[in-house]
Amino acid sequence: MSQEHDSAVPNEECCGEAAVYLLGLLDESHSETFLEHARSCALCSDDLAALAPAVDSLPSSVPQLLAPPEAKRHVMALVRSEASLARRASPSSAINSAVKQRGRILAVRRPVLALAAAGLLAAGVAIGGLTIPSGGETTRVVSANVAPAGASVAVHESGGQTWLTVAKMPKPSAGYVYQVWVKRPNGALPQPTDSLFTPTSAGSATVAIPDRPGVSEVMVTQEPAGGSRLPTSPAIIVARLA
Amino acid sequence: MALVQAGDADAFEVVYDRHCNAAFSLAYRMCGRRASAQDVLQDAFLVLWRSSAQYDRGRGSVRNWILRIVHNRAVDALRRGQVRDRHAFHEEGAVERVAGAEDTEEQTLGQEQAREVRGALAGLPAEQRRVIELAYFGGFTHTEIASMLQMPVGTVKGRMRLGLAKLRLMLASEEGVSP
Repeated sequence: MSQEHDSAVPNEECCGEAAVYLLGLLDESHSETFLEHARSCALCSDDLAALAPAVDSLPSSVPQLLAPPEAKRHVMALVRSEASLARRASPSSAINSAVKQRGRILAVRRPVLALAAAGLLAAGVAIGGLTIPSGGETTRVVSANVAPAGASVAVHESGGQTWLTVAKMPKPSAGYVYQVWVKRPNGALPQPTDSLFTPTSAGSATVAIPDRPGVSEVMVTQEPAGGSRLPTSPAIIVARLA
Repeated sequence: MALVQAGDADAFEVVYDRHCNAAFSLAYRMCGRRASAQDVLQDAFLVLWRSSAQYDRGRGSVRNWILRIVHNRAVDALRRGQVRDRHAFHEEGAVERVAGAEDTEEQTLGQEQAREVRGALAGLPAEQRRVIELAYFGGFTHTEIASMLQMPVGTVKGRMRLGLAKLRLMLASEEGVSP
């Protein structure tokens, strides 16, 4: 696939490669290699242009079904929470104004909201106040302490599952992941969960919070890949749930 | 899409409503199970929301972009073995159709296009149609298809290319457009 050639002299190796790419059969690295090759290969670039409409037409041959309404509820609940978080985490919203805004939210929201206790984390910790538009879902407003400056967090329920959504979170250190922990009112120690995550390059992630009933606090720590049984680092997110 | 790229959830909802049925239909065709198809649908639209900045209008319609994401996610699920027996993919038919009585003009046009594409696919030589369907709807690689059909990989790739080229010609002639 590294050879270049003129379209008038088709290269046997190229024949069918564009079809293979368009049908989605190449993995990411091979796709990149092929596209790089196609830039200088007339046969492949012609094939790409000629065959793409045929591949794009294939979904139309499928019997059309109605998407389940619960899928929309799930997707839109996450989208609205992330949109809300992104607005709050945007550079234009300073922490001070976020704190003021949180005060306003506290005044108008129903009492499903609880303030995080002061001093949960070390001094200098940013505060990520948040609100989730309802959109037909059971939503909760929580207040959380979030260590990474600019990051924010939301907890909400959708489809019978509780979710933690973060925005503007930095990547964990190499070889580490973020782990979700839950704490109950009478529990001395946080309990580990299987919810491990690494945010996207944009800093967002959504993970399930298992065993939600009775949980009063959700924490996130940075742990070695695979997770830990006990926290090995300070919590960078502590979200107190209503 | 500009509003979606700016993080507007309401605009995203409009895009979702417009394309969710086509996306679910493709996912169902590939996965064969409602629950798996719903997972793929949800996953694909969240990918769309989180990577909307990557959408480039010059490279195709929103619909095609969404369906490519759905296709990629369904292939991932198939290859991870999260869905049914892949070999049975072509045996199953859909059971829940869009209700005819609620057809909109857009749906009617879509059904017409669906008939054209199905007709064009049916018009392909069987060996070309089979490799295209195994690859696109079954998520099989060209190497896997070559092994299944006991033929050289080059033959599989050649049939894919010929089949797609022929499909495109047939669809172009249906539309009265010169290819």
